[in-house]
Amino acid sequence: MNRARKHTGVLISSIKESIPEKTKENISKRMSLATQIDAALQKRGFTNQEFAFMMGKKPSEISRWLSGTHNFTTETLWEIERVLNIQILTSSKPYEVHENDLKAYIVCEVEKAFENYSKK
Amino acid sequence: MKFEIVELSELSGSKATIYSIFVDDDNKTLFENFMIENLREFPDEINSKVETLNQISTKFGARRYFFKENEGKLGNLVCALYDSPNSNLRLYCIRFGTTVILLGGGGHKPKSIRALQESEKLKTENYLLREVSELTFRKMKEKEIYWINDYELGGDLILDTDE
Repeated sequence: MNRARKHTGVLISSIKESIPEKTKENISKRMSLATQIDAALQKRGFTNQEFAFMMGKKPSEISRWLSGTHNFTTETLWEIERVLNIQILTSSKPYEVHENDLKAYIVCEVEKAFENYSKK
Repeated sequence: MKFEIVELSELSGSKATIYSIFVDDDNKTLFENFMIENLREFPDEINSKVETLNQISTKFGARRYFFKENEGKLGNLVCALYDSPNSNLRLYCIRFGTTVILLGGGGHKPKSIRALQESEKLKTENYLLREVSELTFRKMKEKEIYWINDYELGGDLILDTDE
């Protein structure tokens, strides 16, 4: 099997190294978001046109959303979550206290109170 | 005119193999020339393109929706990598499924023009890639270029317009 000749150049490496971490992270998150939306569209069997109609947008705008370059507003993401019934934004969940943690906490607090009482 | 398809080692990853093209005796690929031509004026856009390609090759694969399709003739798979918002730096490429991208050149597409034919630079770069696409498909048909492991191109990767 004859594979392509591998070409390495200083230019690509130096550009890759100079890209700020924040830029890399933002691009990755945007592309990941596009992939998440597309997966939901596939799962629900919606075409881009149908999704555009449901969102009240033009199909070209949906293409832009899926390009992995779009900077979404929170309102748009809420609307996408509603229409596709998916969770995109991380919402804060109520703190779940484990029963054992609670027991340990109570014991600790009682011991502290008892210690304080003994000192008096 | 002679073209050689080469793999760009720094950009290829487990999800996609990225290639570019040497034209005649040029010692830079079309993609490298694109970066050199635009780095000074559009450094952020170049960074964005390189990182997007890096994410594609290592994480997401060359999914259809990351590319602006139909930038060439019908069915020749010439497309463009989507630009960052508020930027119109076009990078033309040929996407073979989600695992192989062949990068060409491109240039700035001002908001004042609609068709690529209105810019001599974009027209030249785009039509060059159309030619590469046509020659590649011809060789694929004749089984002189073939797939290796579903994510690499193999065979005779030197294309000649005089053949």
